[in-house]
Amino acid sequence: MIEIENLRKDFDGTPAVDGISLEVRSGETLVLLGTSGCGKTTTLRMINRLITPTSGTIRVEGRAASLEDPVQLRRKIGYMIQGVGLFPHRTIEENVLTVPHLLGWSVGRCRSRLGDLMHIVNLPQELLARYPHELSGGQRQRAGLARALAADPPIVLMDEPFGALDPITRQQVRGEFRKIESLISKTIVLVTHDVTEALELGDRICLMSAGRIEQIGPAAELLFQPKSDFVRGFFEGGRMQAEWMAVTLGDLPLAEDSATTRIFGLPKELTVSEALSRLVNEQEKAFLRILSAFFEYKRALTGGDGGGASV
Amino acid sequence: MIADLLSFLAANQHALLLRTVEHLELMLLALFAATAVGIPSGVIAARVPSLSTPFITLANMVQTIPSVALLGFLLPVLGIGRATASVALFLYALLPIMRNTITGLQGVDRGVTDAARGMGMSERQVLFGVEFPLALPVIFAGIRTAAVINVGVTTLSALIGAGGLGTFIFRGLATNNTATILLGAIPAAMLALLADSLLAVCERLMRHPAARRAIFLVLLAVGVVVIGWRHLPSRPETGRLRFGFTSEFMERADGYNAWRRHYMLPPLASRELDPGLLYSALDLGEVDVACGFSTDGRIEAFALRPLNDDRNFFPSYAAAFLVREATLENHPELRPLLEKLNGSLDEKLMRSLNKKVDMDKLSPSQVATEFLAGWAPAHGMAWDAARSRSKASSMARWDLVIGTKNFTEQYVLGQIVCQLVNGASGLQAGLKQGLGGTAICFQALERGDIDLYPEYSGTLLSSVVKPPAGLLVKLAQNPTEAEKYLREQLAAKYGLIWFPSLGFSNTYAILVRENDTQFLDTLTVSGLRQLMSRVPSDL
Repeated sequence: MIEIENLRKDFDGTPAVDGISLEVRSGETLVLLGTSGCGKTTTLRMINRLITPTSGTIRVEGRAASLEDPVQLRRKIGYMIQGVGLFPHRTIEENVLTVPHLLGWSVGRCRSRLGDLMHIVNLPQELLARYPHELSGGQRQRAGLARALAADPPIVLMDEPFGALDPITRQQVRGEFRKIESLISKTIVLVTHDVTEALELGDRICLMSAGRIEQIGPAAELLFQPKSDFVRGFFEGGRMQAEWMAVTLGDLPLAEDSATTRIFGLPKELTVSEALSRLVNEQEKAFLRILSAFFEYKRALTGGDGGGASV
Repeated sequence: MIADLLSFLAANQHALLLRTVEHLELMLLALFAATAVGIPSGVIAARVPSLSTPFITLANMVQTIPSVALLGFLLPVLGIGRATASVALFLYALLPIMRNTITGLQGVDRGVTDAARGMGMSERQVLFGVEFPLALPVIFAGIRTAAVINVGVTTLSALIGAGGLGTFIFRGLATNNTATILLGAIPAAMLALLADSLLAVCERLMRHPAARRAIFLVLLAVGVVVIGWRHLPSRPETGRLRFGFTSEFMERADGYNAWRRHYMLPPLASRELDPGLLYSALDLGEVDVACGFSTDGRIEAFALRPLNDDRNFFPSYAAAFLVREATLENHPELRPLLEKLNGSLDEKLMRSLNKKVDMDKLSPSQVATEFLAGWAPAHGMAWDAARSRSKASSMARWDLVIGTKNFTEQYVLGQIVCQLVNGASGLQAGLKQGLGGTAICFQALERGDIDLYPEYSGTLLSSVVKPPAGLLVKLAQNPTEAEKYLREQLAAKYGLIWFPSLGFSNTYAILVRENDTQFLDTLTVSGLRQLMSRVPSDL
């Protein structure tokens, strides 16, 4: 896990990150969300010491990052950036094995890991001998993910990992991304400016503005119990979709028995948004039932009339 | 034409091989050194942005210095020969290599280097594993540019006695011999193309990591061979005397070879030098004996001494104007004006005018004005200095274009005739000065690009009119006969008028330093032979 205390970074005397403190829990995905220039990327890059903080401390797995050799530290932390940054002069295989090679793994170990990785990210083996420019955008994204996961780091940092993809591919790759088992146990810090992406991928969201944290917590908390007008305003544009995405069927007051795994034949982990889009064509009754349960849930959280205006 | 060229090639193949090797050696050495310095300094400049501007500015400044001028600057420090040429070539090759290294490294996608660092590559691994391979095509383009520039600039090193294919080019230009020019120019062009395509192949191979090491080793081996070559015993030399001659003297029919045979001298340890550099090379002790021209001001200024041509080898080189007949018809006032100058300049006067330019640092134009100011009244001429000056700065179309070759005396004579015409007639005359050699001047005159230029009878005989060998010997003995023959031939064949002599002959002179003790008893060229037979051979 990662603990950040009073972290500050000034560029030419102007603070880019203005004294923030947060904790990334083991195995969770924390999304740093905010508009351009809010300090989210700077925060991320300070974790693997690509940027040196002006003041404050960062502890990675209990040890102060500033005391570790930056090169060694980075080899233990997966890193994936916008546009992927695959090496254009190296094949996909060489790209994916970058960190294992840096760590001096044996040929055999590299080979078996390579097979696993291609399976994990769902890339066909025959792409291994190709160069990055010969792959599609989505394939490059998956190769980049394979590269970040190559040495099985417990922590992965991602800076707008899907930023360079077109909207359709982006949604599709993101969907696949959520299903990757080996990511579920990892501690992930993901930077994005895309609300949908944050709601879809984040266990918790840290909303930043002007170098400060506005609010940090589960998506539903930010949506239904905003701490400031900024937080309320930030989600206003696509509020209906956002709220439906932030709540799962399991959250709703529908089943008396908490052990039930399926509701209306749908898995409990499904978000309200996903459930409604599956039911919209045929099952009017179930659709309306879920909708009214959603309002009940929302009322309980906000303690108000449920913001009926959004429906 | 082609057949001529091939037989000429066959006759000169040994010299061609020698010059090509010299050329390659100079060029490769400089290229290696420039790569060895240019790439690291490019890396530093790309890493430290505050250094990149000064580095590039410095290299750009060097690049803007004309090659011959750069050679001239380096000459007093490094002397004549390969050292100066190598340094100049190195400086010229440095800019493209350094600039392309900087551009190439700066052009690497920031996302890629960011990812490399973020995954835990050390700075060295980022540089050699990511940045270099990605910048390689741009860096190689710089090396290729440098190689092609170097092949070209290396031809100029012939001017300072460093040899190379330029030797043929300058000999050919000096003596109006196209075959000789091509003998240098064609292989030089081929070398440039070859170097470019070889490096292109290298670049393609460098993309494979395995081949990279092999290429590096091959380049290293070539480098060692090139540097090793310099330490091999040089060509056989006779005696300790070092001779310096101009390309023109080496090439012309009545030049080096004939002269050596005439005086029965053994093969000499000789170097080819630019005419302008020969005197200082002699003065600085870079050579012991040099050929020069009898009217050159530097003979007096550097305390040089001509050896007496005791066996009458050198023919007369009477100076006069060569003018297009058509020009004289169009501007009838020109002929009487030019004729006034006949016999006005004797050797002593000409030498003192040359000295004013070479040593007293007056401009040729000042010297010409000074001369005309004294000469015009004495010859009853109405010459107006102010009128000449105003015409010199006017933008009016030239009625008359006066050409000159590229040495002091020609600049002075050109100024004299130009100012005379401008100051004493209604014509507007202008100058095209510093044309490189007889071939260029004469062709410009034939084409009508210039209307007249000062020339020498001996040069016209040997390089332009070219009478049969028997007649040439006869004419060399009889200046009056030669002048008559030249006048007829030039008028009939080329439509050119050869004016009577200006009054001096600028013939070849074999020069030594006046205070050089080894020549104390040597007053004549024949004496040189006795001196050389006494000197033990280096072989």
